[in-house]
Amino acid sequence: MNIIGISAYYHDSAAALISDGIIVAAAQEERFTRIKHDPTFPKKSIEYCLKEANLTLDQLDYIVFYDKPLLKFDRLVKTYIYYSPNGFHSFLRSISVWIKGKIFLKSQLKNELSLLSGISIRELPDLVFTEHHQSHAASAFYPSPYDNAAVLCLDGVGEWATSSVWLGNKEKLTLQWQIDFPHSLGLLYSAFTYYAGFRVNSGEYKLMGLAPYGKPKYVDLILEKLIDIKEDGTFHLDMSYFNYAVGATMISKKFEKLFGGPSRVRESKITQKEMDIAKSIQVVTEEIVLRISSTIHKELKVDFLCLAGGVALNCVANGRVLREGPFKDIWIQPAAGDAGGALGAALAIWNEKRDSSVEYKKCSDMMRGSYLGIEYSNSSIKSYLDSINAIYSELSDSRLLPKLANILKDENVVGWFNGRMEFGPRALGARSIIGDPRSSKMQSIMNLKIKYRESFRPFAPAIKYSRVSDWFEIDRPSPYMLFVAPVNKAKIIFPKNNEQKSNGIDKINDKRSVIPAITHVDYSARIQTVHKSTNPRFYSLINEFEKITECPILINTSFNVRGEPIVCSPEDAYRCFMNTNMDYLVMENIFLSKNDQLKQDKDSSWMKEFPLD
Amino acid sequence: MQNYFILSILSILYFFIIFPIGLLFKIVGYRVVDDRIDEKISTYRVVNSNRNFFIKFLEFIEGIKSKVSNKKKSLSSKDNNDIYPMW
Repeated sequence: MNIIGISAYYHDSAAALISDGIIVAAAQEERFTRIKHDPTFPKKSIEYCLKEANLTLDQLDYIVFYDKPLLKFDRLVKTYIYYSPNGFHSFLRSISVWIKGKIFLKSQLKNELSLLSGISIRELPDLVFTEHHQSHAASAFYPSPYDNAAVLCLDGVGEWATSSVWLGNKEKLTLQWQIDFPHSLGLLYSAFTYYAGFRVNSGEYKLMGLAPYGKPKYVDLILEKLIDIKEDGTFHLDMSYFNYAVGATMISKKFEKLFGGPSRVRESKITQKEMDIAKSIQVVTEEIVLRISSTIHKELKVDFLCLAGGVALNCVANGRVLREGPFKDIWIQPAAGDAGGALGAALAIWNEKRDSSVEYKKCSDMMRGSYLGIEYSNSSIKSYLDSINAIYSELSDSRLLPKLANILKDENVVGWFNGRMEFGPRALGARSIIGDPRSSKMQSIMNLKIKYRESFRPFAPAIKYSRVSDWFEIDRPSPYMLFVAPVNKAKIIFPKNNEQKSNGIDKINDKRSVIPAITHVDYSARIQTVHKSTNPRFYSLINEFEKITECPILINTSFNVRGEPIVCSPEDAYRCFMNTNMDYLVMENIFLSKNDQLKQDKDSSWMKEFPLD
Repeated sequence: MQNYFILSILSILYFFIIFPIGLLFKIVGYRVVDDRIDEKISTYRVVNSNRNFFIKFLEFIEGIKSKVSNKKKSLSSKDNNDIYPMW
């Protein structure tokens, strides 16, 4: 049975194809269209998935959309009724979008699919719809290694649910309870993201990265005024402080008054206040996730937890649940946001429709490292490079990897384009920029000269799984970079006489460990364990680096500049390489040095294509 | 032009339907969206989400849409087999 799942029309549209329960391909539309968080119909992603599976659209059994648009419309109308006469302008704006298309989304989808495939609407496979949180829950439970697990979905909002708890038992996934709109942990975090001057639905991870610089000064104020959290972790927000239900902004004037001033203007200087705000909301978020985790462990009596929804990308909270929570282990969907909904929708329908006489079997990593996207052969890469007269050499792995290890040791920055593209927001060693974590200058080089992004943002380590406990306080795999854990004490360099040398953002410049480039200001790191089974080339490269440095770690950051989707094709990679201060580029077995390329002026117009996130 | 027409219809809809219903609900104390902070209760969890209020209306709209489009296509359309509809 072949099923394609689609997520679209909100943000991060994507497609995923499963064949007899095996995840064959999955990709986000933004990678192909080069528009960050592209919400449009995922035409190119669907085309790619079908090509990868060697299928045509009419050979599919089902096409599944990841949420129920009419339930969402129901929520919108009820919300406008409830808050009337407030929200008139928002009503005009959003309902006109709905009546022009979204309310007839089924016809719209069928037309798009018909245009894409060239087959008539009548001949299209059945088009079905799953609920938004059902898609999230399925994306977390079915690919996980567990037969029995609790599933917790936390995001902004789907139809009505903003948080939901499910029980997964073999192929059955049953909703236990939920928290409904407008009370949303995701939207609460986004409100603070907005207040701190970052873009909503995009800058939340910056707020998380900023939190360790601050103090939890506002926690009591948040708990007293903004949110009522019950013992079981369920919560309601005081909506008089928020404007997102029927307004054009996330927060109300009352919110700004409570925190002593207006939102930070985007791109202006980040002050200690923003850092304290970030820390405070991070503490509250962690408290809620920990309380809900404890509740569902007590009530559902299962040993394992699966997480999905945008809040599940909060790897600091995930790390705390892993260390301090009651579950034996946790599995998190790497594409935890809406893109992963495409995969979950397909998996939900497959489990509903499949032949029940066939035994349901799970393996340790059904996501296959999340390397589910497009790949390019050496010949296609060479063909592109020849067309633009780029200068390159082709090297076998036995020559290339030791050479690269030496290049990295000499503090060079390398673009690493290897195998199938990742599905989800993290670069996991398929479309990555890599460097030496031991270098104290690498953090600022990469942030300011290559990624052109804010200096406070930390980088993540990619470490051989077998060595992870030697370097970090974590004893299990973290293949999707979704857990933050402390750097092992043996590797930490504590300041003399317990004196902090720097304040605020400048803290990042203090050397805190023998791997300073990936050690955040609170001595933590966002860990990716690299496994030979899922990414053997990346593993071998780290192995070569370890041979000459005794350090089994590389810095791994996404192959893009600020605001740009992660590179997809050799053309994207070469363009990013040539327009940044990256030193070398490796695409499969093709090796390029910046010094060898013909001198050309940097194309600054290219950067302007990507609005700052 | 089309935009102005839509905005006019929506304005009429808002002031003659949405607003009066909202006002009526406020008067009778019916909360179509639960935004209360209640310190006395022990949990905010929702076990059976109330989704029936507008579903009939939405089904009605979808029914009209299907009837219109069915004029153009066979009645044995695969739509009739939907078990996971848009609501």
